[in-house]
Amino acid sequence: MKCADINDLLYLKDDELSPEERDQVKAHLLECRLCAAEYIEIKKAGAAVDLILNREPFLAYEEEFTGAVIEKIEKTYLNNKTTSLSKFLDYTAHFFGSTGARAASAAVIIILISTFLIQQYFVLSSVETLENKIAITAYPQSVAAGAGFSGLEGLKTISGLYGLIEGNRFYAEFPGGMIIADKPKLDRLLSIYGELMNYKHLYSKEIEKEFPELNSFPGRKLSVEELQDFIKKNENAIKEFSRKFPAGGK
Amino acid sequence: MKAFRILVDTHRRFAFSIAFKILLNEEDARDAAQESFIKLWKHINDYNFNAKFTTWFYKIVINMSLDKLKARKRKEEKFIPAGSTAGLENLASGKDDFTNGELIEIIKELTRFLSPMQKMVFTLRDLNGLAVNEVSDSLKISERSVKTNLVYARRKIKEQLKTIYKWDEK
Repeated sequence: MKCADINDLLYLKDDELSPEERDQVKAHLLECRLCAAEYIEIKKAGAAVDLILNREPFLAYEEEFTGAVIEKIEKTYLNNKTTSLSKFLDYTAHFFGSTGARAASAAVIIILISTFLIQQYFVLSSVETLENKIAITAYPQSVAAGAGFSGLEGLKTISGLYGLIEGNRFYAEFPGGMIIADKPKLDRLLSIYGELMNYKHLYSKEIEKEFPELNSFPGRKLSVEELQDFIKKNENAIKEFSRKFPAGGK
Repeated sequence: MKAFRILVDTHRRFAFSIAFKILLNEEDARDAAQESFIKLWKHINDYNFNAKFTTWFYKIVINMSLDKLKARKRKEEKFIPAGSTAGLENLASGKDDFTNGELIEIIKELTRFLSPMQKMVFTLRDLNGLAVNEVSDSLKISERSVKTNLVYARRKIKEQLKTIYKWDEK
């Protein structure tokens, strides 16, 4: 093949060429020193450009950046933070979208109200490091309790309304919080944790008695590590508890 | 809002970086990135879980930046004195870190001989790392056309860098 026929292909990266084109380039470079020299320069230029690709510009006042976005959304779409029930329904409906949104929102609110005490009692909070691939700042039980939730799949159904999945990372928004977690971990954690929390509003005294540790977390907040520890230590006890105190009452 | 705040915190640099490399203006990039998050908030229901979240959001930021670019077209384009290569010399010097201003200067000098379409294709593919099909989607041109523009752009840029880096002198 002549140089003129191959020259354009030299400027394309491997993943921009078809396998046949890659073979043609390879074969030509082996037999043409001029094109090989040009090819080296192209690669050098590519490396110089990659320096820019890999350079992230400096974002000044990062906190203000987020603040401005949130403020604009609140002003434009939420009007006021202290929403009336109607506004709150609209707000929740925003996540549901489509038909029956308000009715669905109302259902969720009923669930939330019914689990309000649970939330007050056992609030998951803090820990937002994505590096750890898990961060929980949410009230999974509030959704779990009303939705027959058992593990990620159940949550996913609901999170279809609220959440996002990025790769194997899961973001879910609930009124009052959010979950960002590695899916398998979240699945495991929440299925067990959700199970316990399903019973909490029915058996708060029993749970308090059975798991006194729950009262001892500082500020009633759990870090992910504490949650993991807690579940690890109490997995069998939680299962046993679930058997003793079935959902829906004794 | 707490959840959304976390989402913004997590992706704000990413959004700003894309917008910055397209708009080459700090303030405009900041606006475009912020408006992209607001658009994300409004259209979060459209996310269908099939695409990676970042890819989906990427598109929002790019479209927002391209709209901004169109809006300001003809209005400006900062004057670069003929023959100015100070930015590129910075790049070639092996300097490790660039200020935003230097980065803008480098990209402007690097792309100054490109046609608007070549510039856009090069910016999205080589400076922002989009795949060819993503560039094709964003600019509404065929993949073949993306590649043709890339070839022209890379050829011109290589010639420029060749002079700056003095590859001929070895």
